[in-house]
Amino acid sequence: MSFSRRQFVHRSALFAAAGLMPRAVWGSRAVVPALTGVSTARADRSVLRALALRAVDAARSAGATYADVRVIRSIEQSFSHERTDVVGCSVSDSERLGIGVRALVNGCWGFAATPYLEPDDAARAGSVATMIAKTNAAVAPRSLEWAPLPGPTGEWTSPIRIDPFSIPIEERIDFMNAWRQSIVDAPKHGVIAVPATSSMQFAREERIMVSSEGMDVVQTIYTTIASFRLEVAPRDWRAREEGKGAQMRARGLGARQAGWELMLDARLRDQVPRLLDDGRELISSPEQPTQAGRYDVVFDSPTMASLLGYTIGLSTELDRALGDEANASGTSFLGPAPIALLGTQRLGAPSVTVTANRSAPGGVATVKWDDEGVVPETFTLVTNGVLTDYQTTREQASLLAPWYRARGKPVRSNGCASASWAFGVPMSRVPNLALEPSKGTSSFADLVAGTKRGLAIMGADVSTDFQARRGWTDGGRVRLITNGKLGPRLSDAGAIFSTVELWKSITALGGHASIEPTTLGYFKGQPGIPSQFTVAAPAACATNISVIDTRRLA
Amino acid sequence: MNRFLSEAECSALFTKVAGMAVGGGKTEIQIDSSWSGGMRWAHNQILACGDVRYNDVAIGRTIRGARNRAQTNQLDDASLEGAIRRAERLLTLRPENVEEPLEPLSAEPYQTPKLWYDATFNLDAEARAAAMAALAKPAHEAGMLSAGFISVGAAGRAASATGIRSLYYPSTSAEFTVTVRDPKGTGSGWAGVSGNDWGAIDTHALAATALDKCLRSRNPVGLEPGRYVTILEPQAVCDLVSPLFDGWAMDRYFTEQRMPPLPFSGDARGTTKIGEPIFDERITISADPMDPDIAFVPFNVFTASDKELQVYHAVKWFEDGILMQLAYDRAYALRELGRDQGLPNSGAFKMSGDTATMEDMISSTRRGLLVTRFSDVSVVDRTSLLLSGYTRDGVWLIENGKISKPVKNFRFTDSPLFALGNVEMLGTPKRVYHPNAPVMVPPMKVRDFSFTGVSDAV
Repeated sequence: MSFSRRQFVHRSALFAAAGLMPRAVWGSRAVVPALTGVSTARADRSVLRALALRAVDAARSAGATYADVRVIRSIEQSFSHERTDVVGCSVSDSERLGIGVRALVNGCWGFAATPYLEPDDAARAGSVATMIAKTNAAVAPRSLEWAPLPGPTGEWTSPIRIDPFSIPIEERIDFMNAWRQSIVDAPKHGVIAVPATSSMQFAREERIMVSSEGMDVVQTIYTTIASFRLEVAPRDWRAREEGKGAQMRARGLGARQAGWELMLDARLRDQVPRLLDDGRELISSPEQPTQAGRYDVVFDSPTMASLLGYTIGLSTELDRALGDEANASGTSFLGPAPIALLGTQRLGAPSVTVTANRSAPGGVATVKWDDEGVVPETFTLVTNGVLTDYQTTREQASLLAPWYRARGKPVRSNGCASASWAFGVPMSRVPNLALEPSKGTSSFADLVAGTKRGLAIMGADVSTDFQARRGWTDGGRVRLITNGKLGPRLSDAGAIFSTVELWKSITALGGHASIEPTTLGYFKGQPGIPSQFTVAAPAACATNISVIDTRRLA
Repeated sequence: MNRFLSEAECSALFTKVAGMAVGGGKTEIQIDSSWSGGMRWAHNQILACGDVRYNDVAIGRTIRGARNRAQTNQLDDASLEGAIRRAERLLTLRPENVEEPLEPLSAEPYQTPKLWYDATFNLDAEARAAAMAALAKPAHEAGMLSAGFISVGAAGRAASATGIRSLYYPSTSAEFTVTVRDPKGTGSGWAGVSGNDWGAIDTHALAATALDKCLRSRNPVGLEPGRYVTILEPQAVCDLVSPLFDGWAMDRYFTEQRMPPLPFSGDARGTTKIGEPIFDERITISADPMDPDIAFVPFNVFTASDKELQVYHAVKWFEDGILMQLAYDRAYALRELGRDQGLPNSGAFKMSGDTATMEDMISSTRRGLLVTRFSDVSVVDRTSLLLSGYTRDGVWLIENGKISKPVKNFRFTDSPLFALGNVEMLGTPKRVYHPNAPVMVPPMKVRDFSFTGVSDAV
């Protein structure tokens, strides 16, 4: 819903990670580079926890009725290879540490953050945040329902199998070079095939979170982001120059809460023959101009994930629907009175059920506690095609009290509060999402085989307007389906849709096995701060979808 | 404590880090140290207000032509030493020196524009809260909802390396944007600007503009998509033209490589369209850090494209519609041009205008559209820099020389290359909202702007 988000989606995987994006600080216009870093950062965790507690104390004694503090320490290592030869991998390494304090006074928030971590600095951040909250409350007091919640205690670590930082850097470089060498060595059968951009990033983030309610937790989150590509092109240099080649991406990578096992489990070298075959088939299949019109469309799982994330995912953020983002990335088509729509607003066909969670294994939004001490539970945004819940934080949960009570459900936050890093204020961020698959075992290929005439759209990007009311798919691969078989490629074809109509037009969903978890990123707040979430959506068929030539002018 | 690192502190950090180096060679350091204060509100209520300090330190080592670096945001000795050791360790991993080695940093002199304003630096949390209250009030009294963002900041940017003069530049930055919506969600208006001097931003006028646009944009009617004579306000011009400078479109190396071709690639590999007419001959686009209209920090560190320091000089990208230059880095300059000075693209630009007023543009239009700004713009084809996105926060139909009614938002598909060739009238250039780099552009009236769809989004 914003240019930045779109840019983000288009960036190479090098930047596609939480913490690996350029981050904007409040008002600071210098682009803060992604790859930063840790060694006060070597400080013992108990020291950092003591600093966090010091900040809470300072906030309380300055008059805050509630305060939460994050001390976040991160280490990131990034390996990238943008040339077509085998060696020459570049490695960057960074560490970063900071403290962020949020304080509440008379319904108003104040926030302060600093990289300086002497005890006085931590105390100062606590008192500055409170002073700011007081100043705001003096000018514009606000009623905010803040139901107390006993603060959780404990530790949690992403359930990874192999700590990527335990693998020597040399071994990780060799791993990347071996994949590239295997492309060079593979038989090409009449085409050019070269390694294209490959990248791997490994991040470990320790989030020490304490609050005035007694929250006292440490979460250690590992994220691995990888993209390995090769390029297949006709044996004619000119054709390659004109973009006739195809970039083929290895499967099973992407951005995941995972360790080194993500790289091993993808069996990358075994994929090379198949990727070459697919690439050869793709560049040799004829391409024809797009005939605009209505089509039955089979979307693959990654495209469905983008459609879900950027339509229903963004529009069901309650703060957005209430107008908090009006001056930034936009509002929601479910606004300006979103709560009245619960239980009545149709958001899709009866087969469409959408849940949200912060517990899916591998999901990048997975945590044990959110930034307000809530243990997030899975909740159902869309039940059999009808809107039934919103993404909330603690201050928004009370707005839904009548709806929850009428259904005999407890009034509680859905656990969406998250600060992408220590230097940003927590706000509602999209959790992992899941579109319920069909009971059967239909794959993408089965759905294509069951389509008499239509289009297949694979790996497309999705753009929506600033209310997620309408959008379109762009890029990826679009092919004609005739009698269940993939035919010619259509150049520059995209599906254009209204969110509600798109989801109402779903006629079939793939089974669980068709799901390829896909991580999406978006910007929110001012200045825009990125965050990521993972979507599990099966492949699907939709009927009567409007398809256009996206390059065509009026 | 200072709110960001001073020149003396940056210099002391470099001396300290240089003394930690092991194995000879050269050491370099790049620092971005900042303070910022924000105030964000919506539906006439404060959402959040913050005070943030931030540091980034990159330490680079060059030994026998191999170069690498590591980053930290901590300034204690152990952290700095950890970073320099990591940079040195990474050096030993390079299997071979794949690029022609460059001496770290260039010792080019840099210019000294005025970028520091006390009015920005002194806008504390209390002043920001008071400003918010005053700015949201007119909207509230009109029964409308105000949402806005005030941000002020100050930063010190520094670069040092073995054997060259150190660079340091302090600057302040200020931005204000405001959206006014009607509570039913049928109208929305926006105004905003970014710059260095809070004192130069007429916040009340901008708030009044947003309110006025909101009130006049309510209950829009749907109009058929198609080609329209279109009057673009300066912000819309920026939203349409800035993708030219935000991405790779102006990069000489990629333009020559044409994989795939970029907008200014020539017909044959290795050629460009430099010297060819591209736009209407009234269009000149320049960028000069010393130009008081768009003054900016005269060098950059932490660039995404390249680990080089970039020193900015005055450049005319387009003159009288002709493409004059494309950007290149030092490595390209040394290799292709035999000189040790790059021509980086800062993202900042100023477009020349003319004397037409908005009134002139409207009164001379028999049937056309007036557009406030564009949103959610993405590149759909790099070869022609074809963009697609939506109009936002106020579109009006003009009939017989007068604004006749608000219309629903459109999706557009068009290119700045086409629009700047279809110019009918140009107004006086104005600073707009473009916080990553300063932009000054005129309002313009263009023929045949391509609107490809309608959206009910408000």
